[in-house]
Parts: sequence; structure tokens; C-alpha cells
Amino acid sequence: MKETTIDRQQLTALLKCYFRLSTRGRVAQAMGRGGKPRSLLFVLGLYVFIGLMNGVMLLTVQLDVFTYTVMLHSMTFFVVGMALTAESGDILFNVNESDVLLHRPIHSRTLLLAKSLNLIAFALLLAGALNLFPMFFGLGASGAQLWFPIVHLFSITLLCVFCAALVVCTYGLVIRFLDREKFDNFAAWSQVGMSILFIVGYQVVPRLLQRFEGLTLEPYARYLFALPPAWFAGIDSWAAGDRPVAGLLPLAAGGLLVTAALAYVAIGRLAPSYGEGLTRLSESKSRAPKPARLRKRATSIRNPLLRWWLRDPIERWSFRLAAVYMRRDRDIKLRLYPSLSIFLVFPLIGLLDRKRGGFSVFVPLMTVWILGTMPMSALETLRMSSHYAAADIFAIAPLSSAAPVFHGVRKAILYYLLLPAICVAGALIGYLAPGGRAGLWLAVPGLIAIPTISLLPGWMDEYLPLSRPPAQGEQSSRNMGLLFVTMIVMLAVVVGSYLAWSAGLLWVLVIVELAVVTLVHRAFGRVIRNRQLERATGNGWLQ
Amino acid sequence: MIKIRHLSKEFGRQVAVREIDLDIPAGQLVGLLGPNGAGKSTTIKMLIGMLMPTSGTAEVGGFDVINDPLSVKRITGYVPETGAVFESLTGWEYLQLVAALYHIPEHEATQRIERFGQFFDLTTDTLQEKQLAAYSKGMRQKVVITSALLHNPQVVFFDEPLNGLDANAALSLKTLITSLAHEGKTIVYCSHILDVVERICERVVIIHKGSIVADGTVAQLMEQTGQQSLEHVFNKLTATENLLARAEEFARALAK
Repeated sequence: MKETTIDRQQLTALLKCYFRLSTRGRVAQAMGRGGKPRSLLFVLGLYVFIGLMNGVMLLTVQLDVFTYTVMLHSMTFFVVGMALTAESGDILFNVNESDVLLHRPIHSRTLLLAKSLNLIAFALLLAGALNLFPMFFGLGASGAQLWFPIVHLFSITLLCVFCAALVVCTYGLVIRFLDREKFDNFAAWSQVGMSILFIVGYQVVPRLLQRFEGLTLEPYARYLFALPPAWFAGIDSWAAGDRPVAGLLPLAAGGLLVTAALAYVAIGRLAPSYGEGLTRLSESKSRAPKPARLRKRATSIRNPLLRWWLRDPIERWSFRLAAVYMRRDRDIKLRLYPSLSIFLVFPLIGLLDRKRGGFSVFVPLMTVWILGTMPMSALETLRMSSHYAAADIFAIAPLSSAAPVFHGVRKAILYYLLLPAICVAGALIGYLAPGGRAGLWLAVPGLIAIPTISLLPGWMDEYLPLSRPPAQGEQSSRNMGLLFVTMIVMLAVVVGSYLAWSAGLLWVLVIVELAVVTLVHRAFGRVIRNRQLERATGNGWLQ
Repeated sequence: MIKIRHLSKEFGRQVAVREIDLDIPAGQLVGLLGPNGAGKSTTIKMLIGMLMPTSGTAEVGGFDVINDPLSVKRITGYVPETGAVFESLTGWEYLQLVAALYHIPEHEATQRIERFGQFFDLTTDTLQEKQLAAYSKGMRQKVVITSALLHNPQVVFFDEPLNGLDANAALSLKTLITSLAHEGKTIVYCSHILDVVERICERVVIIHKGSIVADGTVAQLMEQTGQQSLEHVFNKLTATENLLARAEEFARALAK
């Protein structure tokens, strides 16, 4: 057997293994709930529902096949791109895997192909769920042929391959040049960049298209060559629509060629550097020690206001624990920052809408609504870590409640994430409304509510940071549930703000809200403080 | 069987292994000792192709670890210190995966897994039904050891293999290791439990700060250093001075 060929037996074994790992949650197993991939099923169910709504909405507008599928592929591209961006770090460069696999006789090409196929399968699951109904609704688009569902299935498969190959290529290229620490930083920040790109692409591109084209897209337009969803829509429309072939063929052919080229480069060319990269990632380079002055600064809290806020020593150390993990831990960085990028997008969208039709009061309202969910999202991310076994320290320590630990982490998120995000969003919105900064006051009731809303994860459940093992899809499903609750609460605040503002009673609302929030904050705090700490029982925290 | 020449490994500014030379013939059971951070695990990881040496050469079974790591991996088995496994797989699934990676036919793999299961008191039911996350540390370690020996390797590297094993399982493993050496397998045994090394290893290599500071039989090392046990030899070659006095002083300070 040539060393450079794919070993089919190993590939099959690895694929089986990755499939099982992907669909089994370690927490669920430890709790004896069997091997059902509940988290993943929840996410898939949600995507089926979103797809259904999306399909119905698109169908009611009576689009032609090309426009319809551009919309569908844009959404799929966004969902798949975001999911792969979030999961690819764990799948491709799982450092914990090195002691299990790196000493086995597996060629890096076989390993990379197995992981890439795993990525594609994961992407296909999501894309399939999202397109399940729209695939058939597409038959109602004008000019659609009977075989549209089959062609669309093919084109979304191709889109998934494209996304996975793009991710593998990007990582395969950069891992050639970077050591572990730089690579981790790059991975985290590139994921933030990619997330912003996907979100902005999804939100902004349709706006741009609408401005240029109205609701019907012409496949001859040159700018469509810059939009991957249009390539795959070209395949749909060319093979299952009634558009003239000449306009669609270049788009469809472009999609096929680019996907094939990326896949070839990813597996055919970058596999050796992937193998070397994996080896390098299992090394940790020692760095020159920082001067004592800087070391002290990194671990001390000098701001007197902050010191007062964190006067409880357990809170203070939990605050530091969270801050250190947000800054240094690869897993946390890869999960946290990409998911936070969504909070910067709404002010950006406001920028576009402003050019289109002037400043809208909905921009600060939407921004504060979205910002209200940030602490919850970050708290849930910090709940999971590959170092979950170390959270036994909270069970060993003489703590009667998880409250101070929870508050420390929560305050770290408010201080290090929310505060800068509010400043950035405020600056962007302030720039958007130079003549009407008064609109910013609309955000005040929402901002007042956020610290209290951030108590929700600790109020609903015992919260201990870094205490649960990460599992594929776990974060998404947990976030979705809490996100839903948080969004409803924030929506009520935001709608209230708007109504009060319209009636000229905004400041009355603020005063009333301050009183209510103080009461609710205290009530939540009491519940969190009075909940007895449950103890660890072996495999992670069982609650 | 193992030939190492001027092997070094640097992690940035830190030299983990410094120009070591070592020859281990086939069938020898060698104890590799050293304090924490001495470079033992790094040396082993270079010998099994997990880490790329910074300089020097190494051969295992006649295969170059730098140019032909896959051939080296085919003839070696490795029990990592971490005891890492895929926790969401059952023991059975994990071992079948490992068997497939070494191209062991499924029916033969099944027989071998059952044989190891009997040896380690792991029932087929336990292996097939429970996921590794639910195993005790000792049970998991038995699976890790089985996964290292399943393909009948010529050279086996054990890094703290007794971690988590109960007294009976530890005794079984020590006997197995000795028997494997008698059968002609080359064994490199890395541990901090010195009396076990003293009892089962015919040769001891001590690494300190990345360099080999002692190499010979236990008797030779005791004679060279004028000490009465391997523990004292180790202490003399690697420990800071006045260990006893420092420990007593520390305990007094702690009690205040």
C-alpha cells in the first residue's frame, strides 16, 4: 500500500467513530440517558421549523427558481457556515485526541479526509433540516421542473462540500506557518471574522440585492459571481428551472469548479501540512516570562470601583477565572467570540438602512434587544469546558451555594464583554444618527434590564463555570432555550420602551423600571443564594 | 531494536531533551526514570512518531522515526500517561476502532478483545454496553493497555501504566510485562514507582533535565553511586539537597 493513498479500512473505522462521537453527548451518557443525540435533534427540529417558515414566506412572494434558490442558499450558507465555523476547531484540531490517535499508523490524508467527511455530514444534517420543506415548496416557484427537489438536494450537498473544503483549506494553510498559541488566536479571531462575514452576508446581501434588483435577480449580473449562494442557485435554476441556459451555466460551472478545486487542495495538497500541524499543536512552546510588573497587573484588580463591586473574595476569584479563560483558553475562545459577533451586526445593518431611508428608532431598540441576550449566551459558553473535571474543586471547597461563583463569572462577562459591546454599538448608532442622538435614550430601559436578565441562567439552574463537557450541538440547543426566554423578556422591555417613548413617558418608564428591576434583582439573587450546592458524582456535574 | 543518536527536542526556548544517545536491544525491559519534566514522555513521543525531534536521529525496529513514522507506529504500542480515550464510545467500540486502524480482521479482533477482557476481568457485557465515560479510572486504564497491545507490537512504551489499577490488576500487568519481554518484545517502562521498576526492569535509564544521567542494571547503578536502593540512587542523581530537612521544616510551617 502506498503511504500517500487513502486507507479505506481506516477511513471507514474513523467515520464510524466520528459519527458516534458527534451524536452522543457525554453528559447525557454520564446521566444514563442513553445514546440519543437530544441536543442535535433539538437543533435539527428547530431548523426544520425555520425552513418551513422561510419556505412558506418565499413561496407567497411568487419568485422564479433562481431568486428563490438564491434566498434558500443564502440562508443555508449562513447556517452551515456558522455551524462549521463553530465546530471545525474542535473537529479538526482536537488536542485531546492526540494521545488517542497520533501514535496510530494513520496517514494524515486519511485522518483529514475522515474529519472533512465528518464536517460535511454535520453540515448536511443542518442543511437538510433547513431545506426539508423549501425543497418541495420550490416546485411552486415559477418555472420549476418536477425534479427540482432532487437537483436542490444535489446543490445543497455541493454547498456543504464547498463550506467544509473552505474551512479545511483555510486552516490547512495557516497551520503551516503558526505555532500552537498563534494558531489558537488565529482560529478564534478568524472564526469571529467568518461569523461576521456570514451574518453580514446573510443580512446585508439581500438588502443590497433588493436595492439593485427588486425581487427578481438576473443571473447575468457580474456581482453574482462573488456570491457563492448564487453559484449553487445557478445549478438549481439551470437544471430544474426555465431560465435561459447561457446566463446560468457560468454560475453553475463556477460553483462546481471552485468546489472541486477547494476539495482537491484541502485533501490532496494540504494533508501533509495538516499532519505536521497536528503534531505541532500537541507541543506547547515556552515563552519568555513576562516582567514581574506585568504579571502582577494581569492578575490584580486595581480599579477601586471594580474592587468594591467584587468585594466578595469568591466572586473576585471567579471573576478572574472567567477573565483568564476568556483570554487564554482555546476552547472557550473558539466557542465564545464567534457566537458574540452577531451582536455587532445590527448596528452595521442600521448603517445600510440609514443610507436607504434615514435613521430608524428601531436600530437602538433592536441593538439593545440583541445585546440583552449576550450575557446569557456567554454564560452558557463558559459553562462548558474540556477541563470540566477540574470543576470538582467547587464540590470539594466548603461552599454552601454556587451564588458567588456565578456572580463572579456573570460580572466578568458584563465587564469584559457587554460594556465594550455597548460602547461600540453606542458609538456606531451615535454616528448613524448625528442629528437625532436622542434616539439612543430609547435604549436606556433595555440597558437597565440587562444586569437582571443576566441572572436568568443562575436563577433557572445551578450555575458553575467550566463544569460541563462540551458536546456537538449541546451549546446550540442550550442556548436556544435560554435565548428564547431572554428574547421574550427583552422584547417586552423594548416594546415597552417604544410605546413609552411614543407617548412621551420614557423617563416615567425608566423610574418605574428601576424600582421593578431592583425588586426582581433581589428576588432572583435570593433564589440563587439559597439554592444548595449539589455535589459532583464522578463524570461531570450531575444535576 | 531502538537506536537513538544525539536526539534533542526544544520547545521554543526550553530544551526538553538534550542530545541523548541510547541503544535498546530486542527483548529488553528498560525502565525510564526521571523527575517531573525531565523529558521522559517527550523522548517516548519522539520514538513513536508523535513529536518531531529538533535534531538527531532515532530508529525503532530499523525504521527511521523522522522519515518513516507510519512504519514505526505499526510496530509499536503506546500506553499514554493521560489514559486518553474517546469517552463517548463503549470499550468494545473503541477497541474495534483501534483494531481496524491496525488492519486486524474483525473476527480476529473480537477474539483478541475477549482474551484481553478475560485477562483484565472486563466482561464482554461491560465492554459492549457501557461508554468509556462511565468506566472507573482503573477500568479505563485496562482498555488503554489493551488498545496498546491489541496489534501485538514488537515494541511497547508504557507511560505510568499502573495509574488507577487495583492491586490485583497491577500485579497481573507487571507479570504480563515481564512475560512479554521474555517473549522477545522490547519494553520501555516509564514510571515514578521506583520499587516496581527495581523489581521488573533489567535495565534502568535515568533522565534528568533532558540528559541521561545514569544507565545500567539496578545493581550497577547502586554500585556506581554507593547507594542501597534505586530510590536512593534516583534521589542522589536528581533531587535537590536536604530533602528531608526541607520537608520537616515545611510541615512545621504548615502546622503553625
